Amino acid sequence: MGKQMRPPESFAGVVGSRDEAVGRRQAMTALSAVLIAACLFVTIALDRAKALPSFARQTGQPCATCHTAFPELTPFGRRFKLSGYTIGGGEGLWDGKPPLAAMLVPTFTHTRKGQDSPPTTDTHTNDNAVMQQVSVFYGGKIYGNLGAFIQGTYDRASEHTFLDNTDIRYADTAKFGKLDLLFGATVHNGPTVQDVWNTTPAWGSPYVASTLAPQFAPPGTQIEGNLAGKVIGTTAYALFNDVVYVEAGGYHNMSMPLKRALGVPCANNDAWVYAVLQNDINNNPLNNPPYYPWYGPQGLCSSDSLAGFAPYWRVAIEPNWGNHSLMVGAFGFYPRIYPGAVQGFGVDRYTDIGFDAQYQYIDDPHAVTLKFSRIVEHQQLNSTFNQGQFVNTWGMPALSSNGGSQNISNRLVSLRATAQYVWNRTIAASVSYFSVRGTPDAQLYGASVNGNPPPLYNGNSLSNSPNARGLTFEASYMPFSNGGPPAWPWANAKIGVQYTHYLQMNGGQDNFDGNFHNARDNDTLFLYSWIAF
Amino acid sequence: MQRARRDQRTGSGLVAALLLLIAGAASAQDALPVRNCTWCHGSSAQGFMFAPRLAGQRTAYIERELASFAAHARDNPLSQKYMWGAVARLDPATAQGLAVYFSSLAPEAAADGQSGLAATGKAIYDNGVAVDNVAACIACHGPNGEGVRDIPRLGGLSYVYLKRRLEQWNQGYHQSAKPMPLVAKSLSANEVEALASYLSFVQFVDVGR
Repeated sequence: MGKQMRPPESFAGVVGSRDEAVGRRQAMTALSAVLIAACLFVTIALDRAKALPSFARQTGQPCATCHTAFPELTPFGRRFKLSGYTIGGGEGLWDGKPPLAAMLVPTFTHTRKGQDSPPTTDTHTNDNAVMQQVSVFYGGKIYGNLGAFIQGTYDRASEHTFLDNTDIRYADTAKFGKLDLLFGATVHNGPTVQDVWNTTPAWGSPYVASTLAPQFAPPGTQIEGNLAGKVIGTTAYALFNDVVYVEAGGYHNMSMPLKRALGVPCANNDAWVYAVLQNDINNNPLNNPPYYPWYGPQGLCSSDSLAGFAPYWRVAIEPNWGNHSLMVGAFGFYPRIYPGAVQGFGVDRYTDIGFDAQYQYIDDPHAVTLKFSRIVEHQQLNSTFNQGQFVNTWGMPALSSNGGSQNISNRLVSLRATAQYVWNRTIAASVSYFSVRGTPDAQLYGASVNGNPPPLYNGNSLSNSPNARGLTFEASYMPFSNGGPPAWPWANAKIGVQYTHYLQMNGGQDNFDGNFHNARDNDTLFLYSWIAF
Repeated sequence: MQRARRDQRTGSGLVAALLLLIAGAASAQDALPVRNCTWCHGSSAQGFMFAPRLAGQRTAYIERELASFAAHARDNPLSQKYMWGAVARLDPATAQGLAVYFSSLAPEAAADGQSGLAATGKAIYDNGVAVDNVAACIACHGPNGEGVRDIPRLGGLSYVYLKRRLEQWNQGYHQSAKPMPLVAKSLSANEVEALASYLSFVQFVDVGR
């Protein structure tokens, strides 16, 4: 399971005047049920344990072979993925049980201060206990050297069922003289979903986070999830002598019918569309350009979309010796984007260059992982800037997600460093530091206060800054890493508590938006249980 | 739109080239489930992390150890964790085929020990430690650590693996592997390190499987 994005605003409805106290009591009741169920699950007699159950059945291996604390991969786990999920050793393909698995993620979210409005139609401004996610998987070999990880997810926050992280790949090995080659090709649905190191965004820390909080979240670079699930990636890769990894390929936009067929959640902005149409009718200034491909019989969808082919590359060196594994790598992604899926204003051009490194020490009972990644994004916001000018000229409301920019060129730098310790494959503790720094931009990040109305100011920063930083502490217990219930020995579970403390948000600490919101108000306590079977 | 079509052609070309590469590359071991082993033991079975090198190991030794895992006689923690499950469904014919295959691969020396201890290690290997009643390893494992029949090839195995094996016999694991538990018990920690270091540098000598 990858990280969950905060649901688009379009899914966040307005709740009526529900009694807060009643809501809190219901939340606590639900939380109690979650914990009791988890405890019952744990206290059942134990047997051998596995990771993604279908992978475990296929390989005959326990979860700890491929994971330190799932879903974080060990060097063996990385090679399993690079081998196209086809490695066997356990039960054969369709040998009694299909390569299917399921996952439940009940969660409880508490923020230091309640949100201004409930994040979804039937949740509360604080203390929400929900079944955050339900997923089903196809995980394992399809035929021969072809295998797949396919995840279908019901996301409680967006109330959508959609195709989640998916990676279908073909892999093989060859030897040329002294050169060992593990090579393959993958088709997947988002940048870095196919990556095998947990330093890249799709499978990076935190591995699970609340989809209902916090109210304010820092912006991310394009490779950090903006296009997740909305594009088709095709890359080819090779691992030389178990050390040097190279990968190249790129991404195409997923067609609107395909997005709809796969249940991909789209942002939309009914108010914007309505205003465009009204303006069109009344003043007729908008016929050519722009062009709104998201409007019409296919329905509304103003999520950012790719303009043509977006190249991607990845290199890494991973020496492994004894109980040690070190990786130093880099990656690049070059999307051209129609912001808000609006054509006619040019395209935004992004250059995302990432540097990452990882060290793992894996032994019994101790395992340590240190991770670092830094992504630098150069933004050439031609379309966003032009749309902003246009919007201002015609007095249109802001586009759903971009709303124009003050600058044509901006920069955004995202950094994350994580240290994790796992004891006896069952108890894990980690701390992460994250930081986002970027060029101040009044229109992108500026707060609409003090007489500055939208569309000029579409953010929440008095200082017009995207800067944010914080710390995430997490502890988890994985009861089945050394044994699962006899009735279903492939089951796996993780019970965790996570606390995120925001040191800075929207460029400030206190009253960063002029509406008396403080960075620490977003501090989030998150309890979760992650059950796979 | 032209650019988009050109980009799509580029992507299609990439995939086509890859498929050609896939079709042309010969997979050496289609008949045997070799990759079920090499994803942990290294693409050429030269060892990977703490998983030992299989390349060049004696055929009879590999077969015997696979049987030991299946019978849970080789019971050290890593064997329990990885190998018991790995061999649980392995039939004897496949085990034999894998043993023959891996023994046919030319091994490479891991050379990951402490070079400063190699001379001491060689002395122990060649002469034993008389005062501690440690027999010379050379007597069973051969002058170049090449092994014979089901006595394993030690030359060039990784320092980490050799050290762990000697330590685990001393910790009470895999006591059926006589006489090694008795031998290991007589070695000091420094002697274990020296032996493992020396052996990790020993180059391959081809004396058959």
